[in-house]
Amino acid sequence: MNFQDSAVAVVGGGVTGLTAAELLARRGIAVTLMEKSPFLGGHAAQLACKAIDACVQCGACVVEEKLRQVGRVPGITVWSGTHIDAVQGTTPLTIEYHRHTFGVDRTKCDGCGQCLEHCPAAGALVRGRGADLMPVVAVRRELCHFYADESCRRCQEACPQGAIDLAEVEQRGRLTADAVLVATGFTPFDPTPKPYGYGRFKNVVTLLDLEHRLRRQTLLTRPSDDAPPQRMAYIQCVGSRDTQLGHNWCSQICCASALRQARLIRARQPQIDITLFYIDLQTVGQPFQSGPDADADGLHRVRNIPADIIEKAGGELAVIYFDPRTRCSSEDRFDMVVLSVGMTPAADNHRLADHFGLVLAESGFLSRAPAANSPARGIFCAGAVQGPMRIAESVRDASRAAGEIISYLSHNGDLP
Amino acid sequence: MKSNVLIYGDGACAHAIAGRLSHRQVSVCLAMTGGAGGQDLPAPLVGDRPQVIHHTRLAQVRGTAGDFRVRLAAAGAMRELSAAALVISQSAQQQPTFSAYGLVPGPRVVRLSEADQEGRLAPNAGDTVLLLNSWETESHPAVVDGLLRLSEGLIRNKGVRLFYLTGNLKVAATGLEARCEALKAAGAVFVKLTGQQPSIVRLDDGRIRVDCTDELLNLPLTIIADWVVVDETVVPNGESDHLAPLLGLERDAGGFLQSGNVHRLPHHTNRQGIFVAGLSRGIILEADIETEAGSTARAVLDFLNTPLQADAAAAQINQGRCARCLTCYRLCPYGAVSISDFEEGPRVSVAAAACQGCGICVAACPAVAIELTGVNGREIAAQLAKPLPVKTQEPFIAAFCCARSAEAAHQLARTMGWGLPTALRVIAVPCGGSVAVAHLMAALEQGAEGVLVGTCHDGNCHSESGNRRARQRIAQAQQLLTAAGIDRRRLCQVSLAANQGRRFAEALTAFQSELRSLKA
Repeated sequence: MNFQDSAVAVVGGGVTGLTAAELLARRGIAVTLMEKSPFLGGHAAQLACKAIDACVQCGACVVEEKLRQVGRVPGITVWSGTHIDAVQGTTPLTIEYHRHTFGVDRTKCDGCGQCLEHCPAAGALVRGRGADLMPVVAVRRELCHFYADESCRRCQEACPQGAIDLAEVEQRGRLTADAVLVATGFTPFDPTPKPYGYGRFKNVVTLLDLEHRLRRQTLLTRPSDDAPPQRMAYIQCVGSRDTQLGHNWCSQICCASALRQARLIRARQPQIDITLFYIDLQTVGQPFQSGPDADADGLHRVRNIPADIIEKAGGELAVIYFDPRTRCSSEDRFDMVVLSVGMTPAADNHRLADHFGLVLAESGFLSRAPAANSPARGIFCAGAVQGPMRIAESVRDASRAAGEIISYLSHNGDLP
Repeated sequence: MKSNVLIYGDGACAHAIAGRLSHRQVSVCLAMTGGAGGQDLPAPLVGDRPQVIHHTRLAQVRGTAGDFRVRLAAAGAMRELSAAALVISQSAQQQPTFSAYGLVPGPRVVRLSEADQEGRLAPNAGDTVLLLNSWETESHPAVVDGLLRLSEGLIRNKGVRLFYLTGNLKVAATGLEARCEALKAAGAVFVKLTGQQPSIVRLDDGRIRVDCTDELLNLPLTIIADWVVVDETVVPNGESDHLAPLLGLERDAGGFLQSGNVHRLPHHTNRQGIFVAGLSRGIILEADIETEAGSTARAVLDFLNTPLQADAAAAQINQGRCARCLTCYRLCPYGAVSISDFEEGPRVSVAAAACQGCGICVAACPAVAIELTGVNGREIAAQLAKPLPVKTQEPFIAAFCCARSAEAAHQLARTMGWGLPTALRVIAVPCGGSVAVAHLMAALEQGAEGVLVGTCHDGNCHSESGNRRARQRIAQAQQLLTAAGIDRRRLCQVSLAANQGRRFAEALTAFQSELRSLKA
């Protein structure tokens, strides 16, 4: 089957979108990979490798592999900073979008990093990787002084390549596509409303915050004073399995992630004492026995989700919980607490559902099947936009969706 | 396109794959260990119906991707056929767990897979049914899925009182948590046990009495059950022990026919052209079988549609130099080396279609008879000889880096601007296992003051054993150095993932200071 005249838009440049884009492009389909952030790879690309001496199968390296493959396969156009405004028509569909380039022309930028040295606003310039794995710098408008009051152009002046143009404007345009894959993923639960002081207490971080830290730090320090923590706690199911929030799902990834993280930290810094507060351990497979051998890793396991955290002097944290062993309310002191935040539906899922005629499930995730009265055919979804999924499952689901798109484009609509 | 695919296995997944492939005009043979019965295969819209062979066992598989020659044993006779690809999709075994609960099977005590059978579990309305799950044994969402399906039927159709006693409730699959909540709303009682072992007694009338503590209320709880259902553990099909060596497949820690290596996802094995699906590769939920079959069929179609690798990209054996020692045959992680009989004697060759170009054989061949583009002494020497971009007094480091991991980490370190030694020459190699002792020594001869080999972590190597081979070769080369009076610390191995740019920079900087201290 020759797909040379077919064009597919893949919305979302995370591990699902990358996998699908590569599979489609390998069959000769022209793929436009639309990503709203400056960089590809999504959440998975921000995870740290948690191997101690041997691989612990976290899958974080899988997205690196996908990024390299997407960079190598011809026929994939990457549009970062792209947002969808409207979708019209049926086969082919017309997608109205707007996009901006984060102030940096990636064809000119050679990643020398001089701009970063001149930037006075912490975090306003970030480095990441594009599809071709070339160095790319992006300006975060919300932190950049130029976008506040045009008071600073130091990066632009410092750039030896002339790659930075802070004043560049948004482009608007239309794209026609024979099929669209919605692979916009999930949003990590925002734990600010929980009584754990996230955002107020410096030493309360999320699992993802800690992944970022572990990418930069081999030896972990706590945020308040950059000293190594002595006692750490993980609180599981923050935003998952929570009837009060109406989140009646297990996020599937956090127990294994927390255990991998905790074991890695203890392997590198054995003096750190780690307690895991949990409901049930949702790990699957050999390395994660929750049975009698579970305590071999030296972690303390407490089967209760704490009710409260109070900050004490020096950034110390008092965690209040119901101790199932003594059956009393207890208080333990930690100097760092990690919240295992769950996967929640993205806020713009309803907009995507409207644009593409997809069904929004009660949970807020997208349902795989298009709405019965949907005017447009050729709309597919894949990955964690449909609900919590591990990296491995996202890869498999992307291959399912890519196969369905190929079948659809070959105009018989058959399986597989 | 007309290709032969052999699907070996019983059960729904094997059937669904056969149906989907024959639907796509692929000529399919479905070989089953069992007899007829089960589902009928759907008639494809186009193409032939799959050929089905019953009561047969896989006896021998020869050849490589695109050209497998298979012998099937059936009723005392051997049957031969050829296949471009093989799919293994067997059923798994459910093992009962009665003893974990101190129970023996009986009229009122049944295991999960029997509870579905007609008349086996026959509660009256108002009876108490007790489900036991994961007290001491590790459970799985697929088992919980089965227990929940049973519970839903019992509550909806039989009007029973239902207790679900679990040590650890595995709900890490789509919909399970919501179904537990719905069951609770419908009256089912879920009791969690943490480190307590309830007492279980069989009463004179056959009912079962359980005493435990309700951990939320801190009150004693007694359940007198009319019926008890115990969970099961799922283990690989018993034939896996026979199939793994027969096919040369890696297995995971649980014995399933796909290694835990994340690069094998979702259906690939270490053998090109041999696919694993469903319960042959791991435990999957019943609801996922259709999806599993679809993605397997697509993986097979992708394989059939992709032109086989050209000879140029594969390792090639120089027949004149080959001593037929079979080192390559033994070491190849992909089963790509084959031995064929020729009049003048056995001939060892690499099947281009199965070779993944890892170069493990190249580095191991004692006769230096194997060639692979990018992994030979000349090319490596040329890379080492190139002058460094800057003049420096720092010790010169040659780093052989696996293109899949350490080289990617090196690129990441450069992208992110993390400091690297200036006197560094990185040589990307297809796998750490392709670095021969001779390459290490050559680097030292060409002026490197230290040589580092960057590999994947154990269990993450795409070629499974490349990192272990690299370690062995460094150890061998270190012995040579020691004998020559050179410090062995000039050679080292580092395992890295592609995303460990920071670690790459740290490891190289640490190696540089070690070399500096050796110099002093």
